[in-house]
Amino acid sequence: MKQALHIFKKDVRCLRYEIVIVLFFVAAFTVSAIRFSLSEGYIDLLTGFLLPLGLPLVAWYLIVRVIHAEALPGDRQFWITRPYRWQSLLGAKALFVLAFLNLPIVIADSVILNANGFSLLKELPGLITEQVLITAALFLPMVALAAVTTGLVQVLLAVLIFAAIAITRSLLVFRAPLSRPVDWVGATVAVVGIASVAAAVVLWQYSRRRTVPARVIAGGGFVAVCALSAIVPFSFSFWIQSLVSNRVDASAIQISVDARDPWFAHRVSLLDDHVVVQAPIRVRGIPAGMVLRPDALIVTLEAPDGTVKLFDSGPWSPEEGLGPSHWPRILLGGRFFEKIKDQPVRLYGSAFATLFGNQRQTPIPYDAKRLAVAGAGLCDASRTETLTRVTCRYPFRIAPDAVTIFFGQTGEDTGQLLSYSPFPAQLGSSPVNLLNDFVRKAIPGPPVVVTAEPLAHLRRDFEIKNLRLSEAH
Amino acid sequence: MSDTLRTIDLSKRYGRAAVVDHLNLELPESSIYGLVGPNGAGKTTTIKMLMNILQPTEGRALVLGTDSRKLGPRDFERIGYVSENQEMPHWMTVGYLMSYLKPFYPAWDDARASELLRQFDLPLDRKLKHLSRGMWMKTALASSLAYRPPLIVLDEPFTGLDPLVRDELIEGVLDAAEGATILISSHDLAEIETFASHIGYLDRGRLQFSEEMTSLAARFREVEITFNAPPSIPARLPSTWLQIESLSTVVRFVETQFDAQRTSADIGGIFADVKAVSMNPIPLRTIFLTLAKAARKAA
Repeated sequence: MKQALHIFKKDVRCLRYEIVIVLFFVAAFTVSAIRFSLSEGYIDLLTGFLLPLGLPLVAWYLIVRVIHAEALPGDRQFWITRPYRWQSLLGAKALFVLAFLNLPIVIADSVILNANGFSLLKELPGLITEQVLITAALFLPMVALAAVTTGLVQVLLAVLIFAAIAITRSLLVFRAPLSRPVDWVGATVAVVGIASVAAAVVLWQYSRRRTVPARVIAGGGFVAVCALSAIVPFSFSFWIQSLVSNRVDASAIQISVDARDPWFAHRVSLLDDHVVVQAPIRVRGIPAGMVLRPDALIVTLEAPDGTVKLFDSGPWSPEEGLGPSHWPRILLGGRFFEKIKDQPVRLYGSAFATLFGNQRQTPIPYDAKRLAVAGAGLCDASRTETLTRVTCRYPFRIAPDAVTIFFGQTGEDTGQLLSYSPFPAQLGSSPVNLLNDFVRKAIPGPPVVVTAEPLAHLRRDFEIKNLRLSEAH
Repeated sequence: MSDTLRTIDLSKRYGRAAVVDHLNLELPESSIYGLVGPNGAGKTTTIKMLMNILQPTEGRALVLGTDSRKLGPRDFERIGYVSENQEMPHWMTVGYLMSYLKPFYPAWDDARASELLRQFDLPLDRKLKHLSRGMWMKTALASSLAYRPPLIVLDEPFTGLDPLVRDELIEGVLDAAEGATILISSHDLAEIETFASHIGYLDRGRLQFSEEMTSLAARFREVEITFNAPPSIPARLPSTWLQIESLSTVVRFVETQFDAQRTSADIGGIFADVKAVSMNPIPLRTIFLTLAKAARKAA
């Protein structure tokens, strides 16, 4: 510990100017984030782009500099023949990152939370989780990268290679919609994987200083994590989700596509060089007072010759609860449709949906102190002659509950992104997420925020045999 | 057997090329051992293996009784290592470097450190990046001698230094040594000759010989034979005669196993009509040039 502190003090002295730059960025980010959250979401170039991008860049730069102060690859560094204990050296670097990156960010987050009216004690789990995520996903990988390189040029080159791999991975597994409420499962796999690989590289390098195997571990591990996180199927994520957060029995709910159903009649319409097939879905058994929101529909069409077409859609009835019947759109290539339209095809797949309940209605008084609304954060309302606005602020993550804001009789779905993640924080630039909505008129009474909790996640499989698409209605 | 520094079949290969080839070396305790040889002979690679900077491909080395591959912080507390191509923290001042390194060494001697700084005339407040090559090397040396290490390893410390600085460095090392064992690799044979007690000659990764300076100097002689008429030189001559040159009535060679009686007898047995024979000691530089040329010829 004594040696670690001694090395730490040397690094502070060596990098004092860089530390000042990082602290300046953190302070600027704090002021900008407070301005952003208090101005109800007004984004300028500084708030929306320069600081959120600049802060990680200066943080990474500082990490690279402090690790390279005792570079690990090579055989000419003065320190390798001095009595450095690797545990002390690694401890000094960890202490440096904690002191000049984690701690300032914790302080900045606390100031931002405080300015937005959140209790620090209550938000402690979020504060800690966010630091764990930042360290695992942003700092540790950069420590690992710096541990296998000797200069900024090498680091930049490696970053470009890793970015190219990550972009390729994104292009290969692109699916619409981009964001799904269970994406946190894939993100967790990626973060845990990358942090594990980075930790292995760091430990290996500091204890053994064998750069070639460390680089192989880093490169191979990154590619493996990219591949692994890319192949996490939606059905797996949804299964994990239902394991961690199902709170009610939803077995009575049926979602079916059944050709024997008297009302079954599929439709086919043209869209450029594609064909849209709509097979009606029937939903039954939703308990009173609850809402079933669709998450995804995965359908496979199988021709008699074995050719299959997979169609993976997002919510097929977006932003609203499911009623008794729906006509989701399944997009097929024109050529494939021409080939199979007169043949008996097999249509099978799965519908994924989430049951929301425990609805709560909270009127938000005008111009009063922010009101705590369970599932929506701290909300306030303002009114002028031409505008009525409600703003809710949620700490560290997207609110897990579905939020609808009623301005008078009309309910305005906020169009919010949902995340069913059980964690109190997600990786993001600002500790406060805003959700706001407005109508261009003054309404007499207070607006009402309606929240509903996700209570169960269900999957229903279906199958139709001998469907002839040419017989569409 | 000395456990201060010993290698047993130490080898380093890069692909098929053997940079160090089954090196067996032993440094007597308290000796000043000069490891010499031409460029690419494997001197720096050997030292890097000894310091656990490079891993041997084969064989092993014992440094202060520890396998070189297991040298750790406790061992480095007792080793002073300076290399001509070492990367130092350029942002540090001389004074800060010394105060920074002090807590790493339980045996750090402040008085010795001050004495070294004074002896080398080092400016405490100057950053390492602003030091001349000589000053830089003196700083590196001062920071490696201040804790009185029992083993000092110097890899080409005199390269690129002017004679005055070289002398100061040598003086500093000798003053500070006080019973320490010193391994020094160098091209500067003239300097090595002045203070090394033992010498090892490395060529293409192989140790050609390793012995005490006094015995080395004693067994090499430049022999010049003058004849009354140009002699005929037989095809087979003693293998200990190297660099044989014949010029009219004079024949010169280097005797590598000099023994006055035996060498005279050999000359008498091979040549007739010898007018005069002179046998002169030769400087270390000439010895190595002779050996290097002979090795190249043999190759």
